[in-house]
Amino acid sequence: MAEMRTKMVHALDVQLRSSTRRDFLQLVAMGGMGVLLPAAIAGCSSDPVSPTVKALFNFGTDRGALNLAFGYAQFMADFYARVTSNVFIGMTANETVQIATISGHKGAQRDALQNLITSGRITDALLFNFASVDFSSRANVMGAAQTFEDLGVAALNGAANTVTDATNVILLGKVVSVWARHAAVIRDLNDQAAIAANTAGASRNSFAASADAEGLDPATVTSSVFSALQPYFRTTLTSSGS
Amino acid sequence: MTFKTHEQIFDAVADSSITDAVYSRRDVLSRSTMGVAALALTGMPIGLATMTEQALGQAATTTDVTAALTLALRLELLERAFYDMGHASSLGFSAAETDALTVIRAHETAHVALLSAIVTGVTAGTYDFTAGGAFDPANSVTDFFAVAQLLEDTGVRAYKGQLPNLIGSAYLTTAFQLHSVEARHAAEIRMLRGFAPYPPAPDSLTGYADEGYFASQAQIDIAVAVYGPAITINNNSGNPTPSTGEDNKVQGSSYAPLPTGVTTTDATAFDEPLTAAQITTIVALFGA
Repeated sequence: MAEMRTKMVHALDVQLRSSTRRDFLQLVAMGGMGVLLPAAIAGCSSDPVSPTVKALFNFGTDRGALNLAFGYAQFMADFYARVTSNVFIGMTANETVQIATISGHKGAQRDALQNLITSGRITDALLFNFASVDFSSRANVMGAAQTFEDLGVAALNGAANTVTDATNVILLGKVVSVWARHAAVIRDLNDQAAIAANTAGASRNSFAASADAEGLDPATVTSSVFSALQPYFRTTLTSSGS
Repeated sequence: MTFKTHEQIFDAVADSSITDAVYSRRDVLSRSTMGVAALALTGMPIGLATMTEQALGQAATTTDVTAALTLALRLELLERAFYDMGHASSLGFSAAETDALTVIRAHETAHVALLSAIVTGVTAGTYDFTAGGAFDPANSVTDFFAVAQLLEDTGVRAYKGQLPNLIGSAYLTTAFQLHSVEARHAAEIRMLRGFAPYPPAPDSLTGYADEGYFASQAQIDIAVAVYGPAITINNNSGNPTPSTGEDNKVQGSSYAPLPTGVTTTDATAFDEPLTAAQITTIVALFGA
C-alpha cells in the first residue's frame, strides 16, 4: 500500500505539476486512503482502451496545427463540461460566470474547427482520462485548469511555424489569443482566491507569469505537449512531419 | 486551501518538460543579432531552406517581415511610453492595479528591447495619450485603464494581422509568443476594470457606453476604431455575414474558406485581426 501511495503521489505530481502538489499532500495527510482510494483504483488499473485507439497529427501540412487546435479544444471543452457539471466546493459567482464563458468558447471553437478542417481531420471523439482530477476540489480543478490553459497557448505557439497559409495562420491566431485570455482569467481567479484566503504575498499579478524575461510566452514542441497531455488521454497521441 | 505564488508555479512549470520550448531565449537573441544581417544578405526569409514547396508560394518577403516587425515596434513603443507615464504619475492606483501594471510595463519594455534589436528606424515619439482629448489618463485612473484596454486589444489585433507576413520566417513564432502575452495583458486590464476579458460585441453603438466601457461619444469613437463599428453588429441573426470587427461570427480556413465559412454562436470565441493600415490609423490617434 505504501508503494501504491508513493506511486500515486508521483503520478499526480507529474500530471498536475507542482502547483497542486502541496494540496495533494495535505489531502493525503488529512483524508488518508479513504480519499485516495478512488483515484488509486483508477490510476492503478490497466488501461481498458485498446492500444489501437490513436490520433495522428501530421504536421506535413497546415492540418497538423489546425488538428492540434481542434484536438485541444475537444480536450478543454470536455474538461470544462465536467467542471460545470461537478461544481467544486466554494465556487464563487464570478468563477461560475467566467468558467461558463470559457466552457462555451471551447465548445464553439471545437465545433468551428471541426467544420473548418474538411479533410484529413483527426477523430471527432478523442477519449480522455480525468481520473486524477478531483472535481470537488477547487485547488485540484483550478490548478489543472491553469496548467491546461498555459499548455494550450504554448502548444499553438509551438506549432505556428508549421503553418504556411495566410488564412490558416490567422485562424490559429484567432484561437490562441482567446486561449491566452482564458489562461489569464484562470490565473487571475486563482490570484483572487489566494487573496480571499489571506495567503501571504498573494496579488493579482500572475496573469502573464508564463512569460519569460523577454516578455515571451512559451512555444512548446508538439512532442513535449503530447508527453504532458498523454496522462489525460485514453487516445494515444502521435505526431509526424514536424 | 493554499495556492502557491505565481513565482513558485512559474518556476515549477519552467523547470518541467512542459515548457521545453523550441525557442529558448538564447535562440531569440541569436536571431536578434543575426536576423537583420541574414535578411539583408540573402534577401530571403530565414528558414527558407527548410520550407516545403507549398510554403514557398506564400513565403513572406524580407520587406513583409521588416514591415510587420516595424509596425509591432511602433505599437510597443507607444505602449511602453503609456505605462511609463502611468508609473511616473501620481494616479491613485490600488495595490492590485499597481502590481498588474508593473508586470505589463516590464513586458512592454522587454518587447521594445527585443524588437529594437531586430528592426531599426522607429523611435518613441511625443504621444497624445488623451487621443485628441477623449481621455484623461494622466489624471483619471478610470481613463487610464480605458486607454490601456484599447492599447492592449489593439496590440492583440495588430500581431494577429501581421502573422501572414511572417510565414516562413523564424520570427513567426516570436510574433505568436508576443501576441499571446498581449492577450493576457488585455484580459487582465479588462478584469481589473470589472469587465469581460474578451472584446465586446455590443448590440448597438451606445452599447459601449451603456455597459460602462466608455464614457463619452469621443471615447466611443476611439473604441470603434479599435473594435469595429458597432453598427455592423448584425450577427445575432441566424445568417451572420462576415465582419472585420470583433463582432465577426464567420470563420474560414484554407480548407473551408470564406465566404462559405463556418459560423459560430459566440463572436467572443474568436479574436479578430486588423490590417497594418487600420493599426496605423489607430496609433495615429495617440500621436504615434
